[in-house]
Amino acid sequence: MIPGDKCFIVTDAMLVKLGIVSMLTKKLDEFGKAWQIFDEVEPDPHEETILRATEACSKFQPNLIIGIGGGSSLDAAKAVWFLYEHEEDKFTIDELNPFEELHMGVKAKCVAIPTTSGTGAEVTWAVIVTRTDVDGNESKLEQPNGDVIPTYAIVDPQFTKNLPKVLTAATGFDIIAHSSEGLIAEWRTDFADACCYHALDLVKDYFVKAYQNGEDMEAREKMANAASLGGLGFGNSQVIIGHAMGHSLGAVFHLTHGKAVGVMLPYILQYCLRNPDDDTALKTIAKAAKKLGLAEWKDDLAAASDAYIQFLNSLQKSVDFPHTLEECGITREDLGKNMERLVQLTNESSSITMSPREASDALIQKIFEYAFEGKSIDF
Amino acid sequence: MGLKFGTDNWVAAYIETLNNNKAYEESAKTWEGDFLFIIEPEDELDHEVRFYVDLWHGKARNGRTLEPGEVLDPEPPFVFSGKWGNWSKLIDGKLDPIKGLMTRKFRLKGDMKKVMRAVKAAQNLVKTIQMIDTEKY
Ligand SMILES: [Fe+2]
Repeated sequence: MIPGDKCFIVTDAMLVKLGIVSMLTKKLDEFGKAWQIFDEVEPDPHEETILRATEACSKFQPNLIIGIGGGSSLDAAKAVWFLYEHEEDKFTIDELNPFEELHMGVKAKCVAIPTTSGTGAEVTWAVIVTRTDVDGNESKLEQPNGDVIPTYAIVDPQFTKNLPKVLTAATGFDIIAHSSEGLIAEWRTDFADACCYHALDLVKDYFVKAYQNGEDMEAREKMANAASLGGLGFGNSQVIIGHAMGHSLGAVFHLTHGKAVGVMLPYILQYCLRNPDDDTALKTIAKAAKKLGLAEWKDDLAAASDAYIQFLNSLQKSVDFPHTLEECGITREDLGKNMERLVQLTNESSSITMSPREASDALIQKIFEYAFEGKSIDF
Repeated sequence: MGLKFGTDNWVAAYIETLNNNKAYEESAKTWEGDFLFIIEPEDELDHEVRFYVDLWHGKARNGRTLEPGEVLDPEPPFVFSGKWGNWSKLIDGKLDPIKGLMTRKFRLKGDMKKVMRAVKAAQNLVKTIQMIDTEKY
């Protein structure tokens, strides 16, 4: 049993309305635990929301902080946990950076309960917070620290049963993006590889099933496991330029995270596979295609890696997922107008430093343009 | 034979290499803030080595080594430090500076809000060291 008798629940209003949070609170009542809900977390939570939640949390003085929801609620819970833990230090979100030891868990432990199968936030060190600057421009702060990995993760597919189709598709693509980027990231390790490979294997077998029939609990369970495995994978090896570009699209055009990283994935993979200086990424993705049964063992590197890209393209079709930025509802004019900022935000993302192939501003712009038109990367 | 790491000649070469590194220039085009680098003694290195560089909008404007006990006024806003063993791996390209920071092999002091928006610039700043023909201790 998880210790702690005073629980502060961080979630969104929809999950309260759908009765998902009451599945949790009933259990807490059963075990005689006191609880209080903060249900104002919005998609891509803003810093102000986190601060409001922290204020409520500080008043309540819990010894357990429970995040229940998608990546936004889990990230919010992790951020609230950090700020609450360091109340006396008067820390801000900026102190939640990877370069410091944070000494968490003294005042409270953190429990993460995902209700989508995608972000892996229940097992990762990443916290994404939206900040609005004085000019009203938004950016996504990536604030990772190993000490804010939740103390406990409860991965139970019953919480994902009601996930709408469009979110099942988007979050499923987030898993694929984590696992694919994680496989070729600069910090990859044997342990991360194992997690990423298996997450991809589960996705290959169960993603379309979960999409077509949300009540298929076997498929839901496998996708929930895939999400956490993917999280353990990229949580160690990191994500790369796809997430950097995805966060930038999210900040500028408000694309949901899964949609943004999923639509960019085939393009950034092609870009990394074409690295003229190093063929490690090419070999890795070709091998992944063979292991997953997407290519024949006798296939050469180009054919096998191409099979991987084709697999992504056909999965996009199977789950009615966009293949281009235009299909995401972005106009050419808007893309052009915002290009400078998109490139700048991509460069500001720490994920870009883990990429197996570097990209200049001009190349980042070109990848965005190709993704808009749906052109295969040829540079 | 390369230049001895952390000497004034080496720092001059570092500044020149930084100023010729387009990737650094592009990633650091809005960067303002000097860096002090500290190499703490370990193994073959029996004394502390310190040098600083004045960084402004993608270029290094100035820099030199520091005398033992010398205090800079004003103090540089960013201090990147670590033991020689880790520096040695960094010079050989066996340790990524950002990974080194995140695994606490190096420490970085300064305005983290600024650094977290400029991780690529910080990475390029330190990785430029790998481009210099360096003689180690
Ligand atoms: Fe993601």
